[in-house]
Amino acid sequence: MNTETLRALLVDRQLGELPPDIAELLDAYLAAVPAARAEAESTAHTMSIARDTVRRYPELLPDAEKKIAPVVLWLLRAAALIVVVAAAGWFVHRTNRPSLVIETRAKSVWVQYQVAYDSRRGAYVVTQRD
Amino acid sequence: MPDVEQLYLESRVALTAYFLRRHGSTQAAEDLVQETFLRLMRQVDRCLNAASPRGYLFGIARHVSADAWRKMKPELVPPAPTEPDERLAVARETIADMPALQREILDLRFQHDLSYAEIAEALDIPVGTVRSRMHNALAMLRERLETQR
Repeated sequence: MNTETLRALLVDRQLGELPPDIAELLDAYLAAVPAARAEAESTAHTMSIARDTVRRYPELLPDAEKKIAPVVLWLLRAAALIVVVAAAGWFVHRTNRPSLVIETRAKSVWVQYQVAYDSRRGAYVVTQRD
Repeated sequence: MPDVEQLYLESRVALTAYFLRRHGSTQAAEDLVQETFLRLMRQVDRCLNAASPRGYLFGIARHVSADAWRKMKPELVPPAPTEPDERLAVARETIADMPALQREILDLRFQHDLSYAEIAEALDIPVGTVRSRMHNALAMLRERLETQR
């Protein structure tokens, strides 16, 4: 058994989270391997300090006051999403905007021409209608 | 509902201790216990059908506590003056650096004696996450304590 597995089992056993049959096997292993027993003592010592520390210092509790309410969090996320979508829409609209077509009056001489703005070239293009 | 009554009898003291630790006043703690059970009555079926009703109850208590925090600034009970202990100081510093979820898991386990399954139910996270965070916290603490020696 490697150290990591042994430590995990020892923690679970100390916390009463190990099934009885596994706990029994672990006890047999600890009885046979002195190094594992030392590991068990060290684990128990660490847990004892952790328990004492948590009990003695309530200020270690997560500060609920600083927590953002889930509703507020979701509203912030929704607002951020709207901003991103709006910005992306504006950008797409700006780059793919269809060329401006100026319809000329029917009776004008310009009726045979079409003026369009090519946003890629940044210039107006005059073409003759068919 | 006898099940709720039983849950109340079994958990009232533990819940009072839970709120007392977070809000400092006995009166506030008792009020919050009442509020917890009032909320429980609105979702009693879900609680009694939960994998761990006690964990579910602590999950409600957690929300009640957070709401109370938002309404008022609680007065934490100052720690009793004790002899300085270097190991505890190191442990305190190590735990203070841990993420909030990990600290909450440690508190629910070591202060309120909740099982992995109950903590998972209370925090609405998988049991595996509770276990791994607990192991990770203890490994960090152990490493810091060994370095300190």
